[in-house]
Amino acid sequence: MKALPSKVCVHRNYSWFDKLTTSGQQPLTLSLSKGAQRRSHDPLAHAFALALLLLLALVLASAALAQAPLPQPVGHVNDFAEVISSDVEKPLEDALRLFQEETTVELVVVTVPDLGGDTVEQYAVRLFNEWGIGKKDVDNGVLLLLGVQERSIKIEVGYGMEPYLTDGQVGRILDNDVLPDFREGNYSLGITKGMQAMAETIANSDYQPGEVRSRPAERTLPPVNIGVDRLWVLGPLAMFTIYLISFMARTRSFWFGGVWGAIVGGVLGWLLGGVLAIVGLAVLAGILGLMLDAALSSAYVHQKSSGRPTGWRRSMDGFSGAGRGGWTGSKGIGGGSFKGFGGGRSGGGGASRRF
Amino acid sequence: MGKILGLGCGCLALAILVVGLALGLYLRSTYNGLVEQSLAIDTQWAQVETQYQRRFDLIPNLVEATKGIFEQERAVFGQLADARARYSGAATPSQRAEAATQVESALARLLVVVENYPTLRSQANVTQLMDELAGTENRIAVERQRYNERVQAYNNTVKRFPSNLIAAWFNFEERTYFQAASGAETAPKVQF
Repeated sequence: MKALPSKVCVHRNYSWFDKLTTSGQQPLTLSLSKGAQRRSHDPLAHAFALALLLLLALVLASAALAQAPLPQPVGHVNDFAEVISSDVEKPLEDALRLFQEETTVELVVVTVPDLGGDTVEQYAVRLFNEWGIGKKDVDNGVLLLLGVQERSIKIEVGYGMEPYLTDGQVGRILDNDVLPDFREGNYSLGITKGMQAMAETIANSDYQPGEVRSRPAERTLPPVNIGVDRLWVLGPLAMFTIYLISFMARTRSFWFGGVWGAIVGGVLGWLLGGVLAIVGLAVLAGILGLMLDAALSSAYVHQKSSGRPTGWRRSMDGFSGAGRGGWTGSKGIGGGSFKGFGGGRSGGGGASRRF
Repeated sequence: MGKILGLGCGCLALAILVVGLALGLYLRSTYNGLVEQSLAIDTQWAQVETQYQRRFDLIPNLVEATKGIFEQERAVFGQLADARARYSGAATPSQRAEAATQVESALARLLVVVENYPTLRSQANVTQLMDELAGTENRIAVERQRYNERVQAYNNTVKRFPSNLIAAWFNFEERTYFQAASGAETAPKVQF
């Protein structure tokens, strides 16, 4: 597996961190000009934004109270403890993003004011798997977590990166690159140096971008309870069917009953799993629906005496109006510039220090 | 009137079909869920044993790197070698688990010993080994916890009504949690 002669294209000249280390002043001016632009908004907008943020915080806090409180990711650099200086934060974010674009590896920095009673190891593994750092099934993510109050740091390595960033190497990086600056209170520099050292270690290893190198056991794990996961479909389906029956009964035609029956049968077959179940149930329920609609329609015709309009088109209009609103409402789409991480997993690899 | 009768028959047929389908669906999903959860527990235990093996692979290196320096700690090394032999000789998973927990106390003592020798601690290869070992201990803790979570999910299905009826019908038995030996609940802490 190891020592392939052709190393990857990843390690050129570590362009991701060039801005940060070679010319320390440039990113400073860059970010300052951007900040100045942003800050020139009127105070009303600021107040509005602040109010919105407070509202959001309240909603999030109430949601978090129900479960163990974990923050939501805002990017590659998540400075919740406000210890990374603003002229480093943006370039570091850009560097980590560039590194991800070139290598697909997701490097993430998180600082929190306190760990809420957890050890740094427990918090890191929870956060890593909650956020899903790294690509799914490749697990190529790395998390640097700093608990400021506990003065403890953990670098959590995803399953897929364990061969390329070993616990020993991570320990060296912590001792040589991160902790010296931390002890002097310079979190920004320690974190930057640590991230750069990890990026270089990964680039100098024979890591192949996109190589699926998952944990062996997890891959054979089947998804749990497929049928149960899909059962919620039955609710809306039943309600919809009842609604449809009420208006299908009023129509003289009965072909739509067959069509709807086939659809319901298909869905039930899908719940059971297998193409055979889908086709078989669709045919069976289709015939049943046809019969039912025919019976209902003829019963309606038989009893019809008031002579009210029961045209297909008219009832269809009422149906489509009610139906459409319901379905678009259930579609949830997240917004924002940060798209989230890939769904990677970790199992406690890496190293930690109390300093 | 005949039409009404036909309507009634149709509705009854539909009701029977729906109820029968729902029951079949529930039986199927519960049974498959139990099989899958049971399998998930086994794979998770394999994950724990992978980490155990990793730990045993690391111990000889640590012993080699530190042996010459403290002759007086021979008892610890003896215990480690003993537990390692017992682990490789174990036939069942529960025997392996027992042997692995015996290692933990010996290992914890060795780590304390290393900490008390500043010259030893400052050696690059020793620190590296200690990091690898600490990482492995942490991995073991994580994988064991996940094992117990899976056992809990499975046991819930086995014990709760009405899925317990199906579990009893197909002889799905309760699984046991992993319990660390006394004194070994926490992984040895390595601090520098």
